[in-house]
Amino acid sequence: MSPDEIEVAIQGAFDGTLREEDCLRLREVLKRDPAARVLYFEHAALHQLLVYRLSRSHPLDTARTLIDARLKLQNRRNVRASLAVAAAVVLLLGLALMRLLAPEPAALATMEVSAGSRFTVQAPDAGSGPSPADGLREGTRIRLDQGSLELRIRNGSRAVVLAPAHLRIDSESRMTLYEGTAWFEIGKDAKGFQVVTPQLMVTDLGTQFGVLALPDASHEIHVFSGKVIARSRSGLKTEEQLTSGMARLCDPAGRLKAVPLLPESFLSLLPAHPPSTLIANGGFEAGSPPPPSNYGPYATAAMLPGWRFGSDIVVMRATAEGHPGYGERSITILSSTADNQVGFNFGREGRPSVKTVSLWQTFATQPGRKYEVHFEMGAIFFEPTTLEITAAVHDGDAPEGPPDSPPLASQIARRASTDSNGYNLPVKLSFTASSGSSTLVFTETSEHSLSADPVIDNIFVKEVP
Amino acid sequence: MSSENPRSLADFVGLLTRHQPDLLAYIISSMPGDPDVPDIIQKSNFVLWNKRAQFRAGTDFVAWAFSIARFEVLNHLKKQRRARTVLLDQELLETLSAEAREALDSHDQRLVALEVCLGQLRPQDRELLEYRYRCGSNLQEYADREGRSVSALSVTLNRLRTILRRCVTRRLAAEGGMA
Repeated sequence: MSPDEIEVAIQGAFDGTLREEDCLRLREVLKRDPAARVLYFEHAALHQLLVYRLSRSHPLDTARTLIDARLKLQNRRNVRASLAVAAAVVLLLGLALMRLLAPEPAALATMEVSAGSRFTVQAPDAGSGPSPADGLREGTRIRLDQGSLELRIRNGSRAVVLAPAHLRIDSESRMTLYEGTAWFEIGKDAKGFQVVTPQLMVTDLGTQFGVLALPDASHEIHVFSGKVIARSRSGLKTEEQLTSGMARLCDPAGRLKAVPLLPESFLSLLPAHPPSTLIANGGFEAGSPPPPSNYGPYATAAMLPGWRFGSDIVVMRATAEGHPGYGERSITILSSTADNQVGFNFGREGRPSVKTVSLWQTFATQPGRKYEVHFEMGAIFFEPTTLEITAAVHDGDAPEGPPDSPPLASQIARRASTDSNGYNLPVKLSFTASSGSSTLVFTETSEHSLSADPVIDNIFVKEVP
Repeated sequence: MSSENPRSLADFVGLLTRHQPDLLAYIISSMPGDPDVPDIIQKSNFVLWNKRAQFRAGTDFVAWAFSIARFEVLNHLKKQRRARTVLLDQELLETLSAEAREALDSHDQRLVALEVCLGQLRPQDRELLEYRYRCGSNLQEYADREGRSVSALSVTLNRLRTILRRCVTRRLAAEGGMA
């Protein structure tokens, strides 16, 4: 292989597009040629940097980086601390939109969560003084693993936070957002309210704004009305006053760079859920409407509240041309409700990791009780193949992703290209719960789906006699 | 309850967080093109955390972290080899692992250099790179939108990455950033 061929082959390897014969040739070259290995390492380092630097819209698709790792460690310590001081920690699985913490005159803030949310609240001086149930106080930390929550601060300000998130209420005029997606409406008497992320400090001047502090990504500020002052916290420590319609990203050097305003990345109200199902947002309608796009935009926390999902999950309502359904141009499929659908848009050769092509949610169950899961599965084909979605129910929570443990029950829904584009009849899956929570996981398990996507919609779970 | 010294714990957390990019680059180099890289780094971090008591302050943390990650990669590749041809067989993995510690140094300098080098690209070239690293390696949608073929885009991508690699390497050499 010539040096140019070697460099192209190395890049193909990191893209996952190297053909088998080239793979074998490159392997032999790397074994015998130290210069080729130097080149190989340079591309490995470049690939890592580009993933880190450019994949800000796909935080879930990138590996853990510095900030995320630190948060993981903090979270593990918090969990351990939480267990040690259980009396001071509230761990709840929401069953309906409910007020958890009654407003107390002395409380700094109150909180509501949406159905199906999973979170911990940790008081600052656990073990002494009033419990979190008396209200949120200075120093209270909240970790939101699933769902969404709304904070109402005594000064009239409001925040809607989407999972995964980790924050601390520092005072009446300041909040630290270690991780998460949060929309803020600052009260008239609360000018100067600050939101601090590991990368950014945002000082309100009377406004509505959103902050994206996602792991593996540059943090962002989006201003929807009024004014804020944004300042990067490291590197060049750039400061800029932003007005309505402006959005900035904090790059690794500490510069504030203009990015498009993305109101669809935030929710300003908690999503409402019908009480007839145990699962939150089973119809995928409760979040921000997905912008029209062929094969849908990749899901964000605001588009899929209530669910946890991998990086290949998309939400779609209409094509780029505005044609309703899932697909492209005028070739689309519709579920029975002809509205938002979730697609499993795995666009690489080979079998993906389970997590990237999964959608999952933990919900409350009672041990020994029987439940039924219903869902619709469809598929769109541009090649002859058979697509399948595996629905599985596991015992307990799944904070890190779909569990490896054997499921309580599972069901595979299949559709072949010979069945043509469209939806199957609804699928039913029954299970008996083993504990107070169960996790429903949908995973694409098709052998080949490069030019074909399975989709799901209208999921509901109910208890049965 | 744990009796760990908070200071040594904080030191360990500092090392682990500071060297996440090095660990990621090592794992990427050990399983190129594999979508399970995030899972392996997560598993490696988990093992590193559980084995933190075995790490001796003052010794080479990166070498220790790489050696632990190597086992996770090996386990993973063992399963992968049954399903498909992977670039790194056992012999090549060992060779690369022995050289990785030195070859993957200077992450922070590389990042700064990359920022400068990205700034020198034309907007349309940068857009293609952003698409590739935001949306994955499937370029079909982008090709449709731009009215270009996927193979033409792949050639452009390769050219851009070669330019970036050379630019970063040159800048590091000029600044004496390389060992």
